Amino acid sequence: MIALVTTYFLISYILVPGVLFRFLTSWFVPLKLFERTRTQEATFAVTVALLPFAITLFGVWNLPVMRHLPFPIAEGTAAQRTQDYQRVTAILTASDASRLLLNNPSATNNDANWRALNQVIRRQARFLTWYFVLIALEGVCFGLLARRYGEWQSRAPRYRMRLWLIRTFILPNISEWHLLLTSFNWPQHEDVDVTIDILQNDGILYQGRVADYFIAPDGKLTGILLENVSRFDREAYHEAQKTSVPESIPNPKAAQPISSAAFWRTIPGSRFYIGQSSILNLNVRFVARDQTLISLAEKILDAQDTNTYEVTVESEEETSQHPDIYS
Amino acid sequence: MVVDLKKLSEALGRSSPEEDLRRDLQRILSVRKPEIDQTLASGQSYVLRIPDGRRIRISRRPQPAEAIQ
Repeated sequence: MIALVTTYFLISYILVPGVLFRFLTSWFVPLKLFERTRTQEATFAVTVALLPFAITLFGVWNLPVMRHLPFPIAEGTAAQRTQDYQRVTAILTASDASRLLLNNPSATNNDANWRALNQVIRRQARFLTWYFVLIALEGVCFGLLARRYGEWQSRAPRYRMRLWLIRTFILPNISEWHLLLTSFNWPQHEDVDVTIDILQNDGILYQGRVADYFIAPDGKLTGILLENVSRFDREAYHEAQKTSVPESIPNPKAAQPISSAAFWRTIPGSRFYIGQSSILNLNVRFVARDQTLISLAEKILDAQDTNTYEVTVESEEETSQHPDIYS
Repeated sequence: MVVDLKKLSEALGRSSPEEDLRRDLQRILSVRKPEIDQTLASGQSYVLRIPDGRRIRISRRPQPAEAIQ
């Protein structure tokens, strides 16, 4: 019986709050998914549950609504409450609980024991209801705070206190890949995209915009989904480099340099998946939106402000007119 | 991968996507300016690939009607 009670407390007060918190926070930001040891998992759950537990305890003892709802009971004095718990403890630790509950000639105080059991169960149900509600609220707040991080980080002096709160309690629990492969670190209104250069084990270099990423239960990256992908034609580039330097030129450095931009081949299709096992290294780049690109390019080209140049960003359809044929 | 996310976030925050883009554009456009001007002078537009993979089309801005008259 004691083992059952211990399991009940462990599940209701530590495991369920941890799972509930993770579930609700994951609506807003993906949390770290490391396979933790039981001790680490318990520490995380206890830390998460500490504040809601304290508030619930205060509420069910002092606040009118939380004190009576849900599962209302006729609350007695503190002494009666203590007596209820003593009776229930006696039932749970008794070697033969039926002697204290079943109606038989040798039984004593059966009705009082049932009443005490009912009161304790209702109090537990009321406490857990409020406890889970507060855990859920904490999870949602955690997620919402984390989502505003980029906004506040861009105005660090103004939001110093909030940033400290997030960096201390929230950031260490967010997946590092979320920080690297999304625009989490920048304000939403800046509309920052993440583009990535991926060098594969076989020497092929891909470039594209990160559409999604996938993480294993142990927190490791399993793959990246790209869109608007190009492959660098290294062979053609080397060939062009060789042919651009005729043997007659004594100093190869004096030859016209070859631009690598012409050797990127567009890959047809809207989604391109690269598995982690084939990734050698990543070059992550956070890029400003198209409107910023246009205004910057026009400004730089038009140094004298003559309003001569017009810049437009080519759409993905236009850039994929000459797709790579996987040569 | 065990990373100090606080440090990573601060390091990322020190760079600015707009500033990086400005630097890239300045470097590329200053080299290509004569080539761009030559292409535009022949009545064509010039397509340039920037390091993040996007392509921009540079053309002459159409002159307002009064200016043509």
